[in-house]
Amino acid sequence: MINPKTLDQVVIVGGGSAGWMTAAALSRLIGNGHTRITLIESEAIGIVGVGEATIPPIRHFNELLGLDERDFLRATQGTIKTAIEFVDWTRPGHTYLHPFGTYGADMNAVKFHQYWLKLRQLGQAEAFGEYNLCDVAARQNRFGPVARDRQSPVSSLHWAYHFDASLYARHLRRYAEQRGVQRIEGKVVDVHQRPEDGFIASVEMESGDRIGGDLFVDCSGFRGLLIEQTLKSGFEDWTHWLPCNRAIAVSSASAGELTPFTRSTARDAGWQWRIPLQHRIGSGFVYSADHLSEDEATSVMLDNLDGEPLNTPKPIRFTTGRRKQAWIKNCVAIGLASGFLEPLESTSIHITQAGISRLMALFPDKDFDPAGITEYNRQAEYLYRHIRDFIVLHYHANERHGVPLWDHCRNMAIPETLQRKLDLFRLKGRLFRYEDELFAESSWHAVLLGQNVMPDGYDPLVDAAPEDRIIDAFRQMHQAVAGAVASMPKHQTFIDQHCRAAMTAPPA
Amino acid sequence: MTGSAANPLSILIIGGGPDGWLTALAAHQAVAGLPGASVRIVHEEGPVCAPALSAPPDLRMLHGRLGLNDGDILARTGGAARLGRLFSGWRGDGQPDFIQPHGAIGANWGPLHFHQQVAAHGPGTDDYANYALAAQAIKQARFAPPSPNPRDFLSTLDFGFHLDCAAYTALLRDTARQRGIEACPGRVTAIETDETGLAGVTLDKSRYLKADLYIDATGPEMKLAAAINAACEDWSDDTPFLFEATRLETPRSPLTPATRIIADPAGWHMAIALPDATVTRRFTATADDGDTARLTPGRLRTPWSGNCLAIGGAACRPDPLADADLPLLARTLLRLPGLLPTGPDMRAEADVHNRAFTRESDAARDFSALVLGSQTRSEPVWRACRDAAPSDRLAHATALFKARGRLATREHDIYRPGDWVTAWLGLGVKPRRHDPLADRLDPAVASARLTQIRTLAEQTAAAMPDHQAALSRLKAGVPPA
Repeated sequence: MINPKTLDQVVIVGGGSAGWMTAAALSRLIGNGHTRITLIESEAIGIVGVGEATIPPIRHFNELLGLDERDFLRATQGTIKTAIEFVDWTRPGHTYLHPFGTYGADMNAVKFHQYWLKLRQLGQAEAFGEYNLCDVAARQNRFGPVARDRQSPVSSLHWAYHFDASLYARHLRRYAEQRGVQRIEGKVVDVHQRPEDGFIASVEMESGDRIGGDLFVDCSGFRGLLIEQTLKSGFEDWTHWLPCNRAIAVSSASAGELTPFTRSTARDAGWQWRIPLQHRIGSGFVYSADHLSEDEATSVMLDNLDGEPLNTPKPIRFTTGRRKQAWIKNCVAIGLASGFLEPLESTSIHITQAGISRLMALFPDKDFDPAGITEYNRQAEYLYRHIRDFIVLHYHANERHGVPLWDHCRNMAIPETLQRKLDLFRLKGRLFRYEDELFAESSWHAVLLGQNVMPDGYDPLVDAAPEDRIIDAFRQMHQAVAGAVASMPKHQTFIDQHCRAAMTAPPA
Repeated sequence: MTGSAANPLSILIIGGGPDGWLTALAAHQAVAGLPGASVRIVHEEGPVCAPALSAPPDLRMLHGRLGLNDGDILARTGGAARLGRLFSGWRGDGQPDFIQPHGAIGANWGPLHFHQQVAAHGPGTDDYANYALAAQAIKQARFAPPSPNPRDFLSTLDFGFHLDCAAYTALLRDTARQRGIEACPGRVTAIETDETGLAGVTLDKSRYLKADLYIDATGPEMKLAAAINAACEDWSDDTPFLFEATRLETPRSPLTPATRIIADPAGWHMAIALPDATVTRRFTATADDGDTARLTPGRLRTPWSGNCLAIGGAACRPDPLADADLPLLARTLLRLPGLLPTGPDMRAEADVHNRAFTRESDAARDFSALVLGSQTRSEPVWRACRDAAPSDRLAHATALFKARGRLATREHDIYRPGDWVTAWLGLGVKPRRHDPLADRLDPAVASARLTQIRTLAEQTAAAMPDHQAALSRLKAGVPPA
């Protein structure tokens, strides 16, 4: 028996990866035999989705839907990602990786990196990344499952994907439509609210049709058709910490070996991404319009591509920040409609996915309990702020002296939450993280140490362990990582053997 | 400065109750092997705590870290097991007792909390706690240590302790001595301060001690903290029941493996059952007995200030209803090794601790507010308890729970989700409707699963030994069956 409070109709406004991820997840999880799901999208409105890089939680989302990894990679021109390479961020000529997974193994309840800090001073440690499986594998362009050995001092392999976001949306569209999601083609031209409480009653299409619903999910992107234009959520602007406000995206032909990592290269007025897909490379330049014109930005980007550009560079404008309330009345904003953080740490898809999980955990009925909405907004704000701090760190901890954008970022007052983390780390390399923060300690270590934020000391407990034992343990960890990586195939071989997309068969 | 070899760390703990000795063990373990580091404890003679302690499983977690054996503690101190708390008399409408069990209560299904499954597909939320093995064992007065085998239902059990405070303190003190911790009796007679905080303490007007880090474990006296930083929050307005009287009663049979929390027209008491005696701590609004002590609920605003860290009762004195003293202490001591200072400037370490501790003690304050604010007794003193405005955090959590039984996220919670849920449900605070996600479960499958868990809980409890017998076997050195 269906409870009379159960929603009759959910309307998702906007396709793209956010819209179809929402539709797919709802069709899978709401499945009560009663609630109908409709998605409105217009082929006339472009989607921002270009080559997307992701972080490991995307695998949970795909597993939740029951997607087969190889089918998914085949359908989306997908490749494997185990790290991000940061080129010239610390200073020109400097490179480091932010890999997934952990570094080495903790010993005597003291963190691995603390021992590393000491051995580094003694000249007895390899580079930090040599103790991380994903880091070493990425630099050798290798990827493949490693046998899990519980005794091994090496953490298990973690990975995410690069894929074509519009192909991912198409893949999920097929999935959602098979599970009863109805797609309506067309543009929304008007929004109608209930006079008594301002809840959204229906959206009006160009054709004059009105689509009514109980819950509206705003996946309309930056403009926030429902959440902002209709419901006036308001926007918390973070441009003073993250001054970039433009991007240009382009695809180029692949050249050279297929890498299993995203590359981010710092430029004077921003940074350029490089996302390797099976059939091409997705590139883009995120920059500050205060420091560079669009023409200049376009030429900087085109000068730095792997191969020939395959399309006209597409400009994108954005303002970094978050929607003050992601959920208002009967409208939830998911994806870019809920806010924007530049994709420096590949979090766009994750923010979408987290919004969907949160919506599932707090799925409303016709009462739209206000406490549930408060909780949703609280959690959304928390996630945004945490990711923001992590991205601000990349800009702030730089040694690119004499370049206006970078001088500004190095000298600006950073968010208090980040300042506290930095102060504590600079002192003795300590980091305290709340359990539910997205980026684990190892991610903070990667970027802090990668960008040369070296602590003044290390944890005093490090000295409790005899040096020769630690040196020996480090040698074993290093060897274990190197050995595990040596047994992996090349990334390209892995793709060819398991999940090559139809259009990319290599020449015979 | 690099590392610490040039600057060995000395820690001085003042206070001789379980707080002080546990801190000494934790600090000693943390600096073990560290060249030049030292830990010293100054303990005062005389009574240091209530006759009996009631400790949730958090204390066991700390024991585990400190290498203390639980069976050993029960056997050597004449303690008893605690599988939860049993509340009586909190409902004015004559509704039955309720249990707040330790260990698992059923199992979640994805994001769907277990109580939602009971609400949607079981006999109703009143039955929620009965799916816990601990609840069944409490009803049958049985006890066995949890099984390490995750496929054994007995692995879902968790337990805390009822401990004779003097015997437990003696055991901790002996352990500290065996481990070579420097301990000396003495009384602090003078405290010297400087711009960094404490400069030194004088014992018995004769001996002068200095340290890098001072730990104040002197309980409500806050001897060290008071000398440099006594900015306190006073929580006396949270409860009218500020007068405590302690009694020893003859032991009851069977020996209940739970702390009973009993409300009556004039106040409430907790009954801590030990094999040789039951200790009751009764809390009332007036000092009508001769032998009462006045509670001083509250906390230090910055428990770690300068080079002085206040722990236990010196840092925070939550309402005893919150059951939070030992959980707060355990978290402080588990955090300490990661925050050992290496120089005189400890602000960054102190800041981390103070922030976490504030949230942890907020949780404690909210928990007692939940119980006092949601009980439904009709006497004026109890009615007045319901007029207090809850904190924003608690108001939000309660509203969220009342709507669809959902649980608000809380950073640094010291309770498990099931502790909040059993308190709400037990006091009659119920969701208006269950989570719509529960409707997606196949009713036949979900209800069969509930029956299976319930049966397992009952059968596993019935196969456990009698609590008293289990303790006798421990004492005699017989390993658990």
